[in-house]
Amino acid sequence: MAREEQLVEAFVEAADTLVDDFDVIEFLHTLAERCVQLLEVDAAGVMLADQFGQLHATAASTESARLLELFELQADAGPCMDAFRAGAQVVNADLAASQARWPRFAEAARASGFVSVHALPLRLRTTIIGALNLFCARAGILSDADVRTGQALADVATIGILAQRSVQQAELLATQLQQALNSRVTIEQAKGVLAERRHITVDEAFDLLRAYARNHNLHLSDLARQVADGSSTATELLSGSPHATADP
Amino acid sequence: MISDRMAAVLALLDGDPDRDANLPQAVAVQAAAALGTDGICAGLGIAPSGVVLVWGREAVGVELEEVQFTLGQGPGLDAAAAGVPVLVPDLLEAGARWPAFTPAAAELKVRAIFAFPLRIGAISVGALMAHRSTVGPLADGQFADALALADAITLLLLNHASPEPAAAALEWNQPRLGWAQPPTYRAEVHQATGMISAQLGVSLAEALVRLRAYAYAEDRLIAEVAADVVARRLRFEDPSR
Repeated sequence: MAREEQLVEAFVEAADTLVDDFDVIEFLHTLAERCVQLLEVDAAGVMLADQFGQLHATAASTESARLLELFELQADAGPCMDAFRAGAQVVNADLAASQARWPRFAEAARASGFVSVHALPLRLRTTIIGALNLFCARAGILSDADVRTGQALADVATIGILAQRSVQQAELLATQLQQALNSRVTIEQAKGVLAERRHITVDEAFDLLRAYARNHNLHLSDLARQVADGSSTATELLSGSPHATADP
Repeated sequence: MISDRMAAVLALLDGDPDRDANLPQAVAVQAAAALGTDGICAGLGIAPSGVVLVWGREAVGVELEEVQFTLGQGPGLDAAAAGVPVLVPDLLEAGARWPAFTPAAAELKVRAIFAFPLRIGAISVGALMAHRSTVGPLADGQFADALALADAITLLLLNHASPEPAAAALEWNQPRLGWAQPPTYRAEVHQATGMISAQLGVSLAEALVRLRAYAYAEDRLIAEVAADVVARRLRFEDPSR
């Protein structure tokens, strides 16, 4: 598909949140994946803020534990926190030169092979709900055009999240965010259940969950809740190996 | 961000020396005031038949829980079942939703109710209900305050469900980052909870309690123990199996 078509498709997806069965986590995952496809970046993720102003990793282009940890480290200090607090872009931050600014984050990001990092605020007028984080593994700067496209995707996504179910009040917005953050926790619990039952890593568990949800037309959040609380009847997902629940 | 008033309430919940026995009741009064409401109560349990009032002893709140329990309907039950806050700034206006509960609440002179689920991911333990005799929404910032309170109460209630309640409660004395970053902040804690639940064949709630009790017994941080579980350096096994 041509880049232009991909772009249009990405924006249509991002705007398509006014449907009844909308899954915020799924939506944000798609956004992160689109960023990697469309922009000169190697990884992307979304962090949303809770009521404490604390940022939480909510979705990422690849759910490797290492990448998720890079998001978690930013709870204290990192480009996402800066973009969120200031409501402004952090662009082309050279990780080698950011050791003093974000010591723990910069070191971990470099250890993961990244060279530069960007964070774009998820913002609608005065409301800032989180940040979109972009990582580059190659030297070179992110072009202005890419920054604009990334910010446009972030803007549309923000409107999408806020517009979902006619959010008119601050408390309804907070409810949406709360729901998204809690869904994320549920997904982590489900990853653990599945990892144990299938004898796989939590990273692999996420891939299985997501693939199963897609193939069976289920919402990732719903499937995760059923797997986590034991109400899932997806036996093929839960016991791919014959003695999955037997003692080792 | 939460208000200074609610931060003070959370600090009291955190620092109460009797918390291994019961949730500090006096703090409920301050929590209700911080939310601009007349009273607050927390119900443990999510089924209409099994809600137990565990926090808040103010008369109207107790009666509201009773009414909800008796009739099997109400905002608290809905919040617990759906896992989302149920905000009712004007109870009479929303009356059709709970046809039996609304008149009973009106008789208690309750005009507004704000209910919040007590949950961590797929773990659901009950609901928190704040009520007021005047109509109107929560003020700016009070919603965030209520969410923070619900999180804190959820953790405390899970604490109480521990097989070794006193021991697990003491775990809170470990150095940690405070309410703004509770031990459940790390993804690995939730992943480990899921793994332990599958290892022991127990609920997620019990798995989280076991994880915390273990961390306490070993004098380690819960996040460190969780990392060991996820990396499969540590397994929880049921000796009776």
